[in-house]
Order: sequence, then C-alpha cells, then structure tokens
Amino acid sequence: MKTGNEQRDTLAAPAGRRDWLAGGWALFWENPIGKIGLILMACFALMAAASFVPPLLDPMYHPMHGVDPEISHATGPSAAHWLGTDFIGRDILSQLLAGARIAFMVGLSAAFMSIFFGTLIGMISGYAGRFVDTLLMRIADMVMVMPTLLVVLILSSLFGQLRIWTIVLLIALFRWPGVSRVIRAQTLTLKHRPFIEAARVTGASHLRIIFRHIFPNVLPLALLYMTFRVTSAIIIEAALAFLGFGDPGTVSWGMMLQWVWKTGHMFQAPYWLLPPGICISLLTLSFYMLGRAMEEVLDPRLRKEGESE
Amino acid sequence: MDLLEPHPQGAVLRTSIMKTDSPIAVELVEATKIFRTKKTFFGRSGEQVTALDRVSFSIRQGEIFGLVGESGSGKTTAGRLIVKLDEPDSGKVLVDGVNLSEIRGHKMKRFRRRIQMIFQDPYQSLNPYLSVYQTVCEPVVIHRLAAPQKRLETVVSALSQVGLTPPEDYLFRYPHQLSGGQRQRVAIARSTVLNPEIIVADEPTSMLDASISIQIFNILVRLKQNLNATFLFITHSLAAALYLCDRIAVIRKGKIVEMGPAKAIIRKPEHPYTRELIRSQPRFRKKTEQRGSFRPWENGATSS
Amino acid sequence: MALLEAEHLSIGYRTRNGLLRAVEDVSFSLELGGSLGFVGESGCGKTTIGMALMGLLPANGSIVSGALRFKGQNLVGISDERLRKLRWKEIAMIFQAAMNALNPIQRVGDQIVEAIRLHEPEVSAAQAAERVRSLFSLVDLDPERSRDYPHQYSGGMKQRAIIAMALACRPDVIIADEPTTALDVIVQAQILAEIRRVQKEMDVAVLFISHDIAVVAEVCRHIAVMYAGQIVEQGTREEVFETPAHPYTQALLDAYLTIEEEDAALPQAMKGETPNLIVPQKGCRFYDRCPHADAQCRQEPPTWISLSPTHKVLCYGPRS
Repeated sequence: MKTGNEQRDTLAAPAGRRDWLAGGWALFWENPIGKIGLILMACFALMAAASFVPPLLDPMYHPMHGVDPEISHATGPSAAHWLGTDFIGRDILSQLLAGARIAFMVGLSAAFMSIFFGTLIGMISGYAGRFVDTLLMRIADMVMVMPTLLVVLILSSLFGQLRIWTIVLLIALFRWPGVSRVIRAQTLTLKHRPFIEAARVTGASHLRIIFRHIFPNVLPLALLYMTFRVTSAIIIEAALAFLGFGDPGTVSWGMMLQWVWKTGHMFQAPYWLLPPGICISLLTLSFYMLGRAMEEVLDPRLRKEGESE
Repeated sequence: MDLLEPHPQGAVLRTSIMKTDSPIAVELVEATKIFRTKKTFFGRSGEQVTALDRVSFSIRQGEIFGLVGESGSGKTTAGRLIVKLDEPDSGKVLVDGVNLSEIRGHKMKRFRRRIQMIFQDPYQSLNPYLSVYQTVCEPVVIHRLAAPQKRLETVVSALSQVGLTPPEDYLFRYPHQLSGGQRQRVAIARSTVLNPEIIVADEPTSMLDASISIQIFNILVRLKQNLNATFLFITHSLAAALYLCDRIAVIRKGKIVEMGPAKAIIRKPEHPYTRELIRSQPRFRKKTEQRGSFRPWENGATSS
Repeated sequence: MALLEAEHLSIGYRTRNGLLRAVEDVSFSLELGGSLGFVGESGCGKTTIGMALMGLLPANGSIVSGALRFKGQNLVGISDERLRKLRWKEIAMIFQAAMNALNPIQRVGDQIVEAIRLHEPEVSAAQAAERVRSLFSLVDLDPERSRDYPHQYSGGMKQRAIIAMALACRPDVIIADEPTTALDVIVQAQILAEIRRVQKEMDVAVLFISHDIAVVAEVCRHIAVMYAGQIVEQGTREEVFETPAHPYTQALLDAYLTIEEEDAALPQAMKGETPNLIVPQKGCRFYDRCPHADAQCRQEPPTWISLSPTHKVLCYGPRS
C-alpha cells in the first residue's frame, strides 16, 4: 500500500514525530512505575538471551535433556548448580533461563496475534456499522464469555498434548474480543471526526480511510492493550502447563512448577519451587506496570488533542 | 481553464467577477434534510430535526455565493449535501445539471475531484498522525494526479500558493506543531491541490483570530481567481459575506429567508429576520480617516 | 483607591521547554463600578489574567512577580481559604464554557440558591429563593423558569442564568471571559445589552475579556489592548478606537470587518503570527509583524509613552 514517496517520509524520520516520541518517553520515564517495569522487563529479556549460554558450556546444562551424571535426585544450590537441580539432576538455573525465553515467546506472540485480530475486527466493525457491526460484535460477545482456560483444557484432552504454537494460537483466538470492543469504540468516535470526512471528500476509499487514517489513531491504544494481553497470555500458558496440559517438549516456568508438584517436592525443595513462581509473578507484573505507565502517557495527550490541539 | 491575472491587492474584485449569464454550476432543488435524534436515556422517542426545509438556490460558475446563518440554521448541512457527505431526504442536488444521488462508484471518485470542501475547524480536520506532506499529497495519490517523482513538486507548489513559505520548512511537520492559521492553510492546500471547480468553504475562519482570518480570506480570494473556481462560502458573519460574496442567501431554521446580491441585501434588507440580524451586529464604526494621527515611531511625544 | 489593581504583574507557565511567560509586566486598575476591557488575540495572555484574578491558574501556572490587589489586599500568595471566600462573594466570573457548567440534573433556581447559601450561610432558603426570583427578573428571565432544568433553556437563557448566578452574592466585580463567544449574533447583542444594564443598575465593576474588539467596545469604558503577554495600549474606548497609536491596535482595527464600510475591499492582512513566548525577546514583541519596525525596535524594548492622562502606548519615542 505504501508508495515510494510515502516510504521516503518515514525514512526521513520527520523531526516532528521524533519530538512527539521524545516527549512521550520523558513522561514515561518520569513515572516510577514505568521505570521499574521497564528495568524488570529488561532483566527478563537478558535472562531469555542468556538461556542459550549454559548448554554451550556443558551439555549437562541443557534444560531438557542435560542430566548431571553425579546427581540423581533433587539437590540444593551448589557451585556447579547455582540454583540446585531437579529430581533427575537437571540444572534449575538453565531451566529458569529457558523458561524466560518461552514466556516471552508465548506472551508476545499470543498478545500480538490477539491485538492484530482485535484491532482489525474492531476497526472494520466500527467503521462499517450496521449489519457488519452487529454480526462481528455478537461473535465477539460469544467468544468473550467462553472461559479461555477451560476451553483449551477441553481441547487438549480431546486432541492429546498440544504443541506450544497451538497453545499460542488458541490464546490469541480467545483473547481478541476485549481488544476489538475498545478499538471499535475508538473507531466510532474517530469516524465522525472532520479529518475522516475530509478524507472522504478527497475521494479516499474505505480501505484507505481505515488503514491510513483510523489505524494510526488507534495504534497507541492497541499497543497499550497488548501489554495487558502479554500478562494474561503468560498466566494462561503457565496455568495450562502446571495442570499438565503444556507442551511436553518445552521447558516453561509452568512446566517446572508441574514437575515440582508431580514429584512431591512442593514442601521439600523451596529452591526449586520458588524461582519459577517468582519469575512468573515478576514478569507479568513488569508488563502490567509498563502498560499502566503507557496509559498515563497516552491519556493526557488524548485529552489534550480533544480540547485544544 | 483560463487563469485570471491575480489582482495586485488580492481583493476588490467582488462584484466585477460576477457574470449573470454564466452557466449554473451547483443547484439545490427543494432539498430537504431531516436528522433523527436517537432515543434519549429517559425513553423519550427520537425527535426529528429538519435541518433543511425545501431549500433551493443555484450558484453560477465563477461566483462566490454566501450562505449566511446562525448556528443550527442548516447552512453547514447544505454544504455537506453538495460534497455528498450527506444525502438529501427529498429534493435534488445538481452539479452541472447532474443529480448527485445518481452518481456512484468510479464516477463518484471522479466527481470528488471536482468538488472540494474546506472545513470549519482546522484543529479537527487534519489527521494528527499525518505530516503536512502526507496530508496534502493524499489527494494527489488517490487521483493519480502526478507521477510519484513529481508529487513533491506538486505539494510544494500547493503549499506556496497558500502562503506557507518556504514550503520545505512545513513538509514534515505534524498538525500539533502548527498554529491554527497554518493548519487551515494546510487544509486549504489539501482541497486546492486537485484544482477543483467547486469549493465549499464551511466557516473557514470561525476558529481563527481576526488578523489570521484576513490572511485566510485573502488566500481564498486569490485562489478563487487562480483556479477560476466557484465558491460556496458558508458563514455566520454578515460582514465577511459582504466583503467576499457576490450573492448571498440568508438562511434561518432550514429555510432561506432572503437571497440576492450581497450589498443590496445588507444595505436594504427586506425580511424582518435579516433586519434583526443587521441590527444585532456590534455597532463599531471604524474611523479610518483619523487612524494613526499619532505615530509614535515617527513624530515626537513625551516619554514617561 | 482602586477596586482592583495590578502592578507589574508577570505570570508564567512551567512547560517542558521552559518557562512560558504568558503575561509580562502588566499594570492596570479598575475603579468601583468601572469597566475595563482586555482585547487581544488567542495566546495574548488575557485569559491568564482572568484566571489569576480568580485564583484559578492551572497547576503549572504561577504569578512570577508583581502584585495583584483587590481593595488594597494583595491576592498574590493569599491562602486558598481566603481566596475561596472572595470568589463569588466579591469577585464573580462569567466565562465562555459556563453555559455547560450548569448541573444538568438540578433545577437552575436551586443551583443558584445553593450557591448563595454556600457563601452566605445566614440567608434562609426562602430568602435565597426570593433573591433568585428578583435576579431572574433583573436579567430578563421569567422567574417561573427558575424551576426548569438546564436542558429546557436555550443557549442565551443559560448565559442569562449564569449572569444571575454571578450576581447572586452581590459581588463588587465581575470577570467576564468571552461570555458571548459561543452565542449567535442576535443573542450576543441581547446579552451584551444585559451586561451593560446590570452593570449600571447594580453598580458592579466589570472586567471584560474578549478577542472581539466590537464586543469590548460595546461594554467597556476603558480598553487595554494585549499582544504576546503585554499590554501595548491602554486608554478610554474613544482614545483607543478613534486614535489608535500602537501599530498592533491599528492592524487589529483594520482586520475587523464591519458591514458599515461603504466600499468593501478586503483589508491588507497583517503578516506573520504571534511570537513564541518561551524564547525571551530583546526588542519589541511586535517587531516581526510591525510595518514600521526598524533596527531600534529589534534591539531595545519599547517604553510607555503617555498621550493623554488616560491614554498610553508601549512603543518608541521620537527618533533623532
């Protein structure tokens, strides 16, 4: 859809947008919640990146298949295993790092997909109105009232173990309606703004109006919702894995918790139970804080645009 | 399209340009528009508001026709019918004799190119996420007016025509970095870059300061001459209509109460409402002859 | 003693890009029962002055220097408590958005009664209701309509009710900030006539703020023309409008279109736009737009020149 010229503008990095971003960033950084959230998230991103290192050092540090030949049961922290090992002698630290990678992957991709569907459906629904709107929003209502976790549990008991990407897709498919409701509401208010009417008068097609005029205006809101969706996706995946419906071929934090529980180490091995539990809480918290801070950045700006700008 | 020489002062030509024998460009025939309000919270049934009540007028080619009325008089609705943002509930809108409601699809797109609108509030009529270049270029892209490598040139010339000079300084700015007057210039550039034949200007200066309004009026008058376009000028200000328009129609509660040459109507109003409107104008006589009798920057005065 | 007096008043807003000097070195005074109009274009600081008088500056705005005196008492640095007492009871305000400030689910009359009893607790409900009836007839509203809800009122009626509310506690001064801007011409003329009449009858001082010179000319005996945070010309209505001295005043008068001109030709537009108030300027603030500017205007700040005991202009003296 982009023409050569339009691409050139984006390349020329207009000073205006940079100012705008810089102003938003300053507001964000001033907010302690945003600062803490971002730092926390950066720590987890580092963990995810570091997850590739231990298996390279020694095959026994492979989170899934690596077993310390000298250890055959759960042991506490030691020089060789900083966080200890699990019941068959696998290194908990490398499992924890691998879990961070999975959590990011699941969280971001499920959130991205649900935002993608939600935004698209919300914009179409709000812009088209009438019949299309009613139809899409009824579907959204139906999906919205389905308990995601329960449906995924039923599906996995029907089809056996689910692959991690199937889980991601299912989460995305069940989590778009909330986003589309919000985006639809925003689109409805935008639809009658004079700049949309001005585009109609110039002869812009419906597609052009939706993607060129409405989309950038709902994008900040969509990104905001994405941070909240990341949180819920991580929690759903962890819950599934803990209940034993996770992808058996991956090491996620929920999976680690399931192993602790299944092997009866709940109260015997705090060094094994606590790290994944704390990580799940902190990572979801960091995205949540990020979202809250973003909300505060967007909010005064949205208000300002309404009245004086 | 023959271009008239722009007048050196960019003004004055208000009556001279009017040709009574030129063909009719736009015509409203018994146009009626009714808005139905939604049911209220307390369950009162929806009310009907007749925005336009069998309104008829015609605008000749090359004319500036003024539609003067107060808020809620239906003047904006009439403009929206002409650019087909709304459809009349009954009656017809004819452009060059063609009924607008019969134009669809691709023909509609071609028609859009010929009729443009300048909106009232420049703070609302520009997309906050598009740069000046993107905004003014959009019509060019939609109607494939210029080859991609010529677009920049087209936009630059449109911007300099509305007095945004040097245009290069404005290309990559966003609306929030512009003043109200600059925004309205960008909006005008967006609608004139297509060289439209008919321009509907819906209170283009009501959100702007007086000195900026004059700048915008001057631009409109100059553009009108350069484009040889037909103007529908919608305003609440009799004074602005007197300065800009050849003919005016005074509209009240969806009905035209008086129509004719601007000067004649304002000097000799016939309808009681027009008289009331003129009587309510703030009494404030400019004393041009005494103006500047004291010029501190030239002759002396005691400094305190 | 002047009722309301400002001396070298400067007001600034803290912004991300630095201190925005919205009002700089402004002095004026308003006598008991007098009327003073501030006229200028958007961003000239006129509304900021009104807000400062009411103690309603936004959180990032503050009086940087100077004094603002009401009956000899400095309003700068006064406690919120004292200011709240002054507000409505002695200084009342009518502003543009006031029409929408009426509570939609309360009868108009009851809202005024409530306002009266809030500020004068000793007044009984019956007395207050009686006062509302007389206020309604004062502003040409049918007293019976005081039992109606705001949505049953037209725009002009709401504005009349707001005026009645402003007068409810018999203030000494009313600050009217663009009170008719949202109204149509015919209603505007009625409301202005109302303000003029009320001012005379109740002997209340009016500080009138508007972008519309003609509106200010209708109501005020004294005029202050503002540009970019400064008053550039001050005088009686006749002095300012008939013998304008400042180039900005002249341009502003030129730009005002009236239906009374015999030969209606569009005036020449004043070039440029209002300067940025964050970047300090050495010379005259009108330098960029002034048709008479020269090198001195860019280098040195202008000074006040008295043309008559009441008329003065911020410009430059004779050139050698």
